[in-house]
Amino acid sequence: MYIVGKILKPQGIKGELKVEIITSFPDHFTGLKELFVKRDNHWQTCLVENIRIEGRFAYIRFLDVESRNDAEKLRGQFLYIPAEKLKELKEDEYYIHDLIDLEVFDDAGVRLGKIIGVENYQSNDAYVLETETGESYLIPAVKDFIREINLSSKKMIINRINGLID
Amino acid sequence: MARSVKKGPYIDDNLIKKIDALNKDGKKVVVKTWARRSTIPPEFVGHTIAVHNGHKFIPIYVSENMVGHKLGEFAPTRTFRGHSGKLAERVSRVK
Repeated sequence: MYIVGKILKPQGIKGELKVEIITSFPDHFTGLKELFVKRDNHWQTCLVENIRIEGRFAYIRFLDVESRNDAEKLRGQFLYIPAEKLKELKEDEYYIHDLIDLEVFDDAGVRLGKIIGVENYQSNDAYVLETETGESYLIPAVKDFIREINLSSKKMIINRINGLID
Repeated sequence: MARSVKKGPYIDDNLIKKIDALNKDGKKVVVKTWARRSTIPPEFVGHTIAVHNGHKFIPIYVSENMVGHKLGEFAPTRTFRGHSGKLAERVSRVK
């Protein structure tokens, strides 16, 4: 299950919810018929009645949430979708959850460490590489540095140019 | 008040010297700098500059549309880390 939004608060008195969109595809939100909420370690299905998007927020009505009191019970919950509902990606696009824990090697086949996170910057993303000694370095997500990402073998091959890791 | 046009853009001397040397040799090296106020000239395009954000060096790959901006604009000093990156439907693009 993957997070697509966070319920911020009830909106109005008819059970509508204000949701912060936490996905790279906000338009993906409009086509969803059902979302999942985790309550007491169980997945609860919420059938969507209506979704409208305004900026980085979505306003959602669920079929079984009809009053502000019902909506209040969902405050602060994350909304999930199953893995099979994730969008197909274009070339050179990767889900961040797939990148985390990839083993990183240089051109010569030397193991450098593993990816422990992805940081978003205005110019390019940067992958956080943690070495075996516990030090972390940022690798820019540009083709000059990233030679290959193989998700099936959980490997990333990078061009280790001077000054990148030292 | 904007900088006088007569003076031209401010470009850090040490940085431009290093980049000019790399361009001359045709080499690619990550250059570390604290010069966040330095304007990005066309000579920087295609190089990776690690800009200090007060805490660590952020590697910035300079592209054509960054020319004329300051280096500091691309290395934020206050970062919002976002929500549950590991579980969210978030995408990273290799440019």
